Amino acid sequence: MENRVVVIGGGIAGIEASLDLADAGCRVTLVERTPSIGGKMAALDKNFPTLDCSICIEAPKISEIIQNENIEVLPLSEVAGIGGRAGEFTVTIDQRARYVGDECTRCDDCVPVCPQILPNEFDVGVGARKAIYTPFEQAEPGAYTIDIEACLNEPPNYLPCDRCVVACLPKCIDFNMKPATRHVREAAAVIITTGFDLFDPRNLPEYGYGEHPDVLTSMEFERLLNASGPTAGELVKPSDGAHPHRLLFVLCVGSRDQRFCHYCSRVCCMYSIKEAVQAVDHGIEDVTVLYMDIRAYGKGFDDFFHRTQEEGVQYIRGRPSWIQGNDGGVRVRYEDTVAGSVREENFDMVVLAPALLPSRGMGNLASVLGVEVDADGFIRTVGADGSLERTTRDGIYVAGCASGPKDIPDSVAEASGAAASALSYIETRSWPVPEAVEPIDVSGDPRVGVFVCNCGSNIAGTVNVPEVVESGRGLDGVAHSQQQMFSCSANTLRQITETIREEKLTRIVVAACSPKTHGPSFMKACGRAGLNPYLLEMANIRNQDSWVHKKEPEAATEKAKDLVRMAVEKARRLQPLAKVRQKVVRGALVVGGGVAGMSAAAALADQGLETHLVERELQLGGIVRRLDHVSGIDLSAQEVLREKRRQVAQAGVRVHLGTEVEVVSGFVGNFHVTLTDGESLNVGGIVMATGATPFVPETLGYGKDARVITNLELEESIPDMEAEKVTFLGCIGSRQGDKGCSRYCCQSMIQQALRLRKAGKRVRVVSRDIRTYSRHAEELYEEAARWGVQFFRISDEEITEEQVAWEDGRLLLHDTLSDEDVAIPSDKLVLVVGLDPPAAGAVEEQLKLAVGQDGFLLESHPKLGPMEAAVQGVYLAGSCQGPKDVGESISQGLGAACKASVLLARDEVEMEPLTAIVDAEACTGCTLCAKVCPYSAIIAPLKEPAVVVNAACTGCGTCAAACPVDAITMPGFTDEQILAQIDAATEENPEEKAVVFACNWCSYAGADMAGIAKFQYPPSSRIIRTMCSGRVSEKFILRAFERAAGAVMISGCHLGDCHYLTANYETEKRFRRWKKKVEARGYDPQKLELGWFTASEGKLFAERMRQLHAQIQELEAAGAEAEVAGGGE
Amino acid sequence: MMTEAVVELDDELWQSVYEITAGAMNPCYQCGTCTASCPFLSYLDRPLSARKILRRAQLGRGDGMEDIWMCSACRSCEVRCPRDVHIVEAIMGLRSLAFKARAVPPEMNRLLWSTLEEGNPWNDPRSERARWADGLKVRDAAEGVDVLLYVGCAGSYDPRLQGVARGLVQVLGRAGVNVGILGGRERCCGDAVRVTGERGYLQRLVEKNVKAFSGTGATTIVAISPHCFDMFRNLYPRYGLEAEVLHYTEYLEHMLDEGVLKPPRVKNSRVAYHDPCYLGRSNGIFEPPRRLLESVPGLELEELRDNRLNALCCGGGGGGMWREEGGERLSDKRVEQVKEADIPLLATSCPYCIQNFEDSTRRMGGPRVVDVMELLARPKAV
Repeated sequence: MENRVVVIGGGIAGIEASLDLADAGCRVTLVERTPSIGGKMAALDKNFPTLDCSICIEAPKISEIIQNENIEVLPLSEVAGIGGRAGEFTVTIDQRARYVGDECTRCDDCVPVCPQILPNEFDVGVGARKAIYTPFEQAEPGAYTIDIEACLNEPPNYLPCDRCVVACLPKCIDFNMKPATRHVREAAAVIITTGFDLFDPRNLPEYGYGEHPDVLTSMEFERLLNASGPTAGELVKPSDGAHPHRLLFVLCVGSRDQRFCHYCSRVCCMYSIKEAVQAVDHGIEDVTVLYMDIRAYGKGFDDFFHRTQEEGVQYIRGRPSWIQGNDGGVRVRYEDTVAGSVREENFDMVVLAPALLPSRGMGNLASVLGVEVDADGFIRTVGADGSLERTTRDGIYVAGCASGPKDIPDSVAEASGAAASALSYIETRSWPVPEAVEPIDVSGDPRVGVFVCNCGSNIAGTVNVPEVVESGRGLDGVAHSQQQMFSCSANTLRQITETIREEKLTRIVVAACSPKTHGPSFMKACGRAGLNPYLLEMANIRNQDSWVHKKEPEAATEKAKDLVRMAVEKARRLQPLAKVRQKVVRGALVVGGGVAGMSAAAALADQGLETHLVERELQLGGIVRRLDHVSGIDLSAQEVLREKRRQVAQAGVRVHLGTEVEVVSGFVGNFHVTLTDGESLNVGGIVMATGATPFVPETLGYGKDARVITNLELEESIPDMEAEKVTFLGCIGSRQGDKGCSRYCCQSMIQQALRLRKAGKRVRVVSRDIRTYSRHAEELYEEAARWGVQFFRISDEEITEEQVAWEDGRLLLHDTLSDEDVAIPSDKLVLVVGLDPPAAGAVEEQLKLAVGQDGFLLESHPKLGPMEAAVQGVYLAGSCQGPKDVGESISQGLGAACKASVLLARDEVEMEPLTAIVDAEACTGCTLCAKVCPYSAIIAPLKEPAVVVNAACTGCGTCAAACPVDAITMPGFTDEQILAQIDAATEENPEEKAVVFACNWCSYAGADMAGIAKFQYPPSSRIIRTMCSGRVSEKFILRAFERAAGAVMISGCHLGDCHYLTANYETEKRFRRWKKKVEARGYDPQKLELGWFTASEGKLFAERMRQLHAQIQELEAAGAEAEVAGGGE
Repeated sequence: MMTEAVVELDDELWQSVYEITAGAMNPCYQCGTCTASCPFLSYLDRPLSARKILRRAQLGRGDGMEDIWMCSACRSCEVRCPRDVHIVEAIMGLRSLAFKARAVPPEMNRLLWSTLEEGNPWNDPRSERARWADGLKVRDAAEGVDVLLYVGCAGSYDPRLQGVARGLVQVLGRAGVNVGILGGRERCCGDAVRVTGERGYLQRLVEKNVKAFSGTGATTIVAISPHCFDMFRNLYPRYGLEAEVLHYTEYLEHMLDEGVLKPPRVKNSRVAYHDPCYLGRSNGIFEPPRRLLESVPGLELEELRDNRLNALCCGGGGGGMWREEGGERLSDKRVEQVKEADIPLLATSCPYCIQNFEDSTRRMGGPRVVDVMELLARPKAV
């Protein structure tokens, strides 16, 4: 049987599924209809709520797809047929010709000569393209393609145009390519990830779209915001090119609308909020969002929503009756339903949020594949186990928007879940062995190659790249220096690989973006050339330079030169390192036996892995055990559990009931676990599925008045409910303080309300925004309303007893819709409670798993890594990462299993070689290092050489900074390397510069974030990255002052947030000492600063950089005055 | 925050609102599109808020409902409602509730009595009903006809409008259609009764009419007024009417297609067409009157800015014809629009629209107002 899976659709869901499958040793054919993969995410400017640059976080994944030998990408292709059955499908794929061969160098010479001008689909028609074109610069595989329908060479035009053929120097344009090629692939399973298309607002003629050029869709607006879009990121009105001053966003255009799409499109609220705040950042003073319910349901979404309110975005509850052109502007009439007044206003631009539709041709694809679509045309998902990835045909799975609107994290989770399900059909795994490359000898004098990225206009728009290239060329040890358009695109990476071999380069400097996001791509490029990947150093001239000094191009260019010089100086001193290979124990531990944990455990055991499922209670099932009915997936809770228990038993999961983890130690690939039942386990990976705890109310008479119950208590008593008048009150213990939306509750509440209403009760629902975002939930809301459930809307603020009171069987509240105080007589008051984070257990505490502000476990990346913890080898499933409903928890359980199986499928795992090395001869046995080590990873008997326990050492370097005799070396961050960076930073005009030490996890990431958010600050800082602020040693500080630096800042994570447990407390202690020492040496101690930042505090980082700059100038001025005064004496 | 004026939910009242409106207001999620779509918005100091009316209905409130009498049932709100709420149905239900509570404006009571006594809401004598056809050769439907022409109260009594029915009889007769009228036995269609919220008499009236219509053996009923047409097409079938119901513009369009209608040339003129609410938005009939106008040699049809689904309202529907109000009227706005476009002729196909527009043009000047029918045939003088 073929160990292949066909993935249809190359957006982020298809990419994620393909990478998971390929990494787990499965072959993948990725079929994409358009010329390039990346999907809609590649066209977005930023992602909510992190405001990450969308393509920047997607491009490394695209490159990975292209470079992964297990993945075959078929662009311009569509599935034409399928035969066979699950485990042994035969898939027929038709591919259209690209007419541009692989020899294309992306020189773009063909484009200007092409006479055909067409709207660019990638820019959703806002921009133009030719018949030969590349959708976007980072497009893969193969950038250029010919739209043969539009090409003049295509009959009926018999006069060949051939202008592009003449212009193409490598002669790679070939009109004789066969127009269509048929591929046949044997596949064990198929995953559908075809994404979505947008509703055409012309269907709502009263909204003026298509009539007035300044009425845009959100996607068009997204392209206007994008630096690589048609206006290079300048926000202008299509009508006259002027800057808009008043902007209106309109939600639910075609969604939640009986005439078009009944359903909620789920993502529009959040992306519109994001676009609105971006508009504010672009300097637009007056930005309004017209909404009906803000559905900020995801992790961190509410917080983001509130931040945008603080930044000045206005939110008005209403919906336009019409939008029409008016004297150059756009006139809009709507009712502000909270104020109860109709307004007619002029705006400069109106952005519509159209409904998400199944992607064009979905019906046809579904019938080819023999799977059913639902009434809305999305792929129908089934599964008695509540799985959201199962289609109506065995062996065919679905993920992302193909089964209904979804945001990126949910799409990614489903993609991994679908991959996990598909993997159960894969019997043999294989990983292509990378072609053996002759290793490059790096022993001689370093030959440094410098590659400076333009990043389109992201860098080149501010920094004079050729000048940086030239300056780099002149540095000691540099043998090669060049610029590149996009260093991270696959063909450019190939160029780096080739240049390394051709020029015999032994050290590489890439001056581009952040090593945190793109380091791995460039390291792989080195590896493919035979160069040790640890001989790469990056200069961050984008996030920490061009993006934050937009108005000072000259100073930014000088800074870029400095950053390159610092990188070159460090690179010359880099030494080859070898990854530490660690045996992987092919077994897994799943902590928590709710539906997420059961799903994860079953999926892991299904792949032949020894899997232990530990559950504290005496039964599996978690909260679902308390439910009667599961809303959303619309199944009986007991049936879902029965099916899950069957899966767990059938897969051979070892279940430990009434058991908890007592002790856990070890690291990725090899964790040692002792359970409270006395059993000891060795596992390679751990899936956390500890769920959440329902909030216990203390207000509104709960616990005192028997009439007041929670929704969970109602669930237990709903079949024999006697009360006649039942009132629900939502958001109890959700959306308060640091707590976000609990996701499951609105839908579940309405399900219960409808059930009671159908049983003839008087049912009332009192809530803030109704957030029925998930599939069919809006329809449920509507059905409940039609049945006569009465809905009351209270103000969208935290619920207090001031706002809502319970008095003598009456719920008193202010209904904002009628603007009246209302008393609702109720026999039962049902408090709909949110989900609180679970109490931390042994695993969280002993493995130091990070926790977010809301108290839930923190994922490695909110968009693309929702199921992985920051600690390697630990995965997150279900509500322990943030509240989820049952379907979502199951989906994430499968996804986490997939991520774990990628690790556990192989015998070995590679670990970063960053652990401390003690020079036994130099060591005096003072034991200082052992005292400061947060992990007790150093065994240091007094007067004897210290020994580092490699498996326990995490490479923070706090010990190295403490060693009085320099006997500890931190690979990749040696004293010599860091001192060389300091020297390079202070070579010219040191008194104007600030040397800033930044830790890899928080403060460096915060500096990157300042760039992403384009927070501007003066270009005086020169950032030196270390793994932890604990690595910064006294000699670095003194060296910077000796070199006359204008200021020195040590920065790291906030106290308590340190990624190395307590290491930054050590930094704080040292800092106080250094202040005195600096003063004693005759330097101004005011010039030494300490800064704590989280990875998201870009704004704070920029603010501190501005202060630092002001202080440098002040002190410099004061110094100059003192000198003048002194000179006069 | 709580004030003394707390509204106590009254389950019984809510139940009666729910029943009398058939829960029409239930699916409303209170987005306010309706309120912002209401044509009254631009004229009155106290705009009519459909959303607030629906909200009070959702809460089961019978009080504070004076606004329900302002609605002209134009359905501008309904066509844009994303929740498919039958707003007019809800408002008519609320009027019924008000009627039961005797909270009806006096003019509504007057029209009911008039309809009961004289068979028309204008208090014109029953004996005068057939006068419009004096001297006209037209069959009595009682003789048995294929097509029953229902003239309607306004068309029967208002001398300004009588020509429409006369013209139509002539055009049909010329084409050899076996058409007849009820003459003095024609009674109000019930639209005027319906808008008062009264239900018992309405039912009796409809039943009587259905019996009278069925007795003629006609298989097609052609109505002149969109208001009568709307009743016949949408309500009467529930009371057993089986004949096909057409607006006269639909019937004439068929004739045009069959080549049996040849409109005479008129003096060259630009003409604008105004969509009557009950014909257009309520029943989706937009094209037949336009096709008829385009078939007249010499006429050049121009669209007004707000047309078809977005057409303005003359204010005559929903009982508006009987409402006593001063100051600016809805019809003024439409006339203003035609004046701005400098179009000399405003055609429409509803007697109420014609009465209201002419009322406006008398005060403010503007286009000549005609019924489409009046451009298709020159009626012989009586």
